[in-house]
Amino acid sequence: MSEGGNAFLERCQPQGALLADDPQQPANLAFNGLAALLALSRPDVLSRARTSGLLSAIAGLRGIVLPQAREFRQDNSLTGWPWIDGTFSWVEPTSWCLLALKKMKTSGVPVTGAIESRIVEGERLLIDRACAAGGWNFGNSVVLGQDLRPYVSTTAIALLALQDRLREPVTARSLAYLQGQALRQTSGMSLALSLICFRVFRLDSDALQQRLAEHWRDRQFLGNLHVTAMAHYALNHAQHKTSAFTL
Amino acid sequence: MRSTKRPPSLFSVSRRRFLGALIAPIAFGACRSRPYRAADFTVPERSAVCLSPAADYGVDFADVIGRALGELGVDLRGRRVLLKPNLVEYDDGSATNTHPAVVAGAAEAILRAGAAEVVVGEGPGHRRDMEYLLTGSGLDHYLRDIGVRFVDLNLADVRRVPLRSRFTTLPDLWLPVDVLRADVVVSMPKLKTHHWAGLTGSMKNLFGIVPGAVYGWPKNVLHTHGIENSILDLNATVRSHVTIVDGVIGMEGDGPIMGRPRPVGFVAVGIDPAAVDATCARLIGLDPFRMPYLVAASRFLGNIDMRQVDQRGEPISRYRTRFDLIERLNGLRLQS
Repeated sequence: MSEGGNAFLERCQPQGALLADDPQQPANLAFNGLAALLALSRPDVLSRARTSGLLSAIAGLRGIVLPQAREFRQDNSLTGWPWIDGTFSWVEPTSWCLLALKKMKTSGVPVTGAIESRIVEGERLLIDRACAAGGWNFGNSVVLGQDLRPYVSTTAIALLALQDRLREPVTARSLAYLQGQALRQTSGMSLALSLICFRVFRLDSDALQQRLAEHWRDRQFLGNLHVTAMAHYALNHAQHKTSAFTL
Repeated sequence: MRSTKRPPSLFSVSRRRFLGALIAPIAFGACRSRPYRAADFTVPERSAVCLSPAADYGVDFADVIGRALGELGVDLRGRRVLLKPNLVEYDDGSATNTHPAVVAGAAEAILRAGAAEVVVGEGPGHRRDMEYLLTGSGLDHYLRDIGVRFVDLNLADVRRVPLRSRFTTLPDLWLPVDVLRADVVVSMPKLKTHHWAGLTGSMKNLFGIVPGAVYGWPKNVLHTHGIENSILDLNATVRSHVTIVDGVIGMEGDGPIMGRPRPVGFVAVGIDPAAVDATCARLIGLDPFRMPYLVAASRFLGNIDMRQVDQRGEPISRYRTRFDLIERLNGLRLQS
């Protein structure tokens, strides 16, 4: 991470222990999960106390519970993480926060029973929300009896969170879906997240690496900074072995 | 964004008895007293909606839309204009999005009408992969050809804006500066059914200005506070000055994403978004007076009664049809 990146995280406004661009804005849990992952892999990014506080705050937040509804197939009693406090749990914030808590465990930070149970429930939610043929969309697999389609980018993120659940049938189905789709993608975000996922799962990623590099050369991802950062991280695997996302 | 209390919402009701709530008389329980200051709003005496033929996406939309804007007397000279299409999801052969030919045609028409600047902006509610949507739908290609800039409203700079009505009970929303500083906001919906709201019209289309970077994907705060309530608060706060509907090929059945394409063959243009939505509802066989958000809008935002709506261009009878509806929306059917 660049000096600018460190400074940005230090500058982020605390909301309790969570981080936000602006003290008045709702804290974005997906962003906080990602920030925690970076802080765990690069101790120079945030102080140990702030990292620890951030992880506790993440563990303490959960999505709202909605009544079970026949319009949706999922189990609404399961709670993962919402994008912002006071809303329902969705796949992307759940995946980043779940991965951060798992990373906390493997980094030797003491983990309480409460955090262990959040990890278990987060995994159950992701498994429950997977699309029938594998993969994930934003977080509804069936609405009004219709199977919804998975997205490549969200699938890659959810798979990162389930990388230690290789025997789980949902993981296998979703990985197969991603392997079938990754090279067909026309966006930097899908290619970059797929490449990170391929690295973590130790899949052959040469063709995907080449495709992403060409895509960057041709399109620069429409100037999207988040996508650019993810892509450059994915392309520079030799420097860091994708350790920020690997358990 | 601070919310103290969640209102009785049609969305949360839907999880128990959605259909019953949807076709019931307006149940905005929070609004026994009006959730807005009546003095802040004026419903126009009359509203005009212009229907223009467009048999397919090969027509000259700059000409079609330019003539409709002229018919309605829209003055765009020197204005900064933001076009807000409906860009949701891309799938070959589907009719999910406002067609890029219509968006580009509108941009050209508005520039020809003397606008100082035209920008296209959208913040899709499920997908945050904008490059995928722009390339898949072809919109980036069309906009490059005419030199018009696209803004991802999910990621744009934002400002906190107090809401001008309180159907949701939210005091404010963070909204993109690109929308707030536009002199003219043009809502460009696709003519589609919507499995919760009934219709994806001009008013529902404003969900796309709510930034995902602040509220997430989906923009769940709008759902938990009630889809219909959120439609009303957004439209009370951000005015769409012009609506241009892509009714060339609509979507029937399980819209706004999983439905089937249905050729209809028109473009609708109007100033009053409630009047345009009511007209489109009638065109596809829905009764605006059975649609709670339109009924509520008619009290402070616009006209939905045909007696107050002047039809310009082609007669409504030319395009009137009955879209297939999912069962739960049958209660919204226009009784003929």
